[in-house]
Amino acid sequence: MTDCTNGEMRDLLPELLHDGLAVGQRASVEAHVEHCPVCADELALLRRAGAAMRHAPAVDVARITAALPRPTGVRPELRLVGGAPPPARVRRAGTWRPMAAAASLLLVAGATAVGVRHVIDRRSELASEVARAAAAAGSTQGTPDATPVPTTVGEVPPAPAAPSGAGEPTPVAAALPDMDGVATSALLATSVASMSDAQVEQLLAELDELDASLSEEPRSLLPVPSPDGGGER
Amino acid sequence: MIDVARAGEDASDQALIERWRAGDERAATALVERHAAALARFAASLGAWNEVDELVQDTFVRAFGSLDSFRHDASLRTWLFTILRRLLLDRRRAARRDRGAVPLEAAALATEHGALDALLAGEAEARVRRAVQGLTRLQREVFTLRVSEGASYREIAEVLGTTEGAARVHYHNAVRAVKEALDD
Repeated sequence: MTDCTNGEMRDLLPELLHDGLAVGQRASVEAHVEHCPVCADELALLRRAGAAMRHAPAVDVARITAALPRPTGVRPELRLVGGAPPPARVRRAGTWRPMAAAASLLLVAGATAVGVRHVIDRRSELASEVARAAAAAGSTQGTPDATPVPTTVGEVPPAPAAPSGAGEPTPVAAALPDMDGVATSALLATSVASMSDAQVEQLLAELDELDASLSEEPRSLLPVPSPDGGGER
Repeated sequence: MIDVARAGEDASDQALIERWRAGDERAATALVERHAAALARFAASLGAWNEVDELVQDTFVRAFGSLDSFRHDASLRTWLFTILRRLLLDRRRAARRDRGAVPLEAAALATEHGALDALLAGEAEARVRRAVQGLTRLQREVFTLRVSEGASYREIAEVLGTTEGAARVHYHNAVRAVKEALDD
């Protein structure tokens, strides 16, 4: 059996079979095959072989597709069988921020109001306790410099900045933590319990103007014995 | 012209791959429908007639699982052929270790002749088929890819892991052997 000596044309026979040639190239190969019985026979053989090898077992496309892995980065979604697809999630940029800020503001305002009420009540209690402690110390130990302290908040002497302008700060006033001067005098001058609603509202309004965060740790209001058992810190 | 025609097909494959990556499962179905028959023919030509379905499925599963490593300088179909061929060779090696004695070519031919004779209606086609099955494995792979699938020598070289020159030699030797078998 002989082969065509034109290797270039012979190499292109499969491309001619599969219609994979450009128009000009196809015309050249077809012209060659027309005048070359060897290539014509080979082309016929390739055509028969191609047709014979077209037969192959059928494959189950659906089963293959079902076995494929999911694309990377795509999470499976739960879908309602027979129902409408779930609505697409639409991210509205910025809509949650004002709402979150408003919620935070309300939370801070509420916490501040509760905290102020607590501070006021606690101050009243502490002042009473300090006064009672001082009175008890004076009566039992006879401390010469013990200053009589009223037993009720309502009897707390006025602070220097009080409208009445009376006297120096009492030991109780000195023991109280500094509150940046806001409403401290009022607290010491009169009982919060005796304040009218309007006064309480004004006090709260003034406190709302303050920074809600603590600038330092609260100081102890009561004398704390030193570790060695003597004196005070 | 060949490259131009293939480039159009590759672009479509690439578009389908991107759609599948974006979550469109219909794109995967389209890709399977497009290439499954060619893979089945190739698998059958390699003597894997009884395991064509499983081989083709495993080929797609492996391909879709490693699409990130797919180099787009080759066509998707060429890459799929490469995967299928490696899968089949691995199976053959494993079977050979298990069974030991039965030569690969004889086992493949023994399995395939009966099925093909039952499948092919015409005696002429059956003769051609037997002639092809009488080729060496490499010749048969090259002949199938070139004649049945229209693959270029470059693509064949990629599938077989050889050179274009070697693919050309294998092809012409295969054609000569088929002619001789049919002349007998």
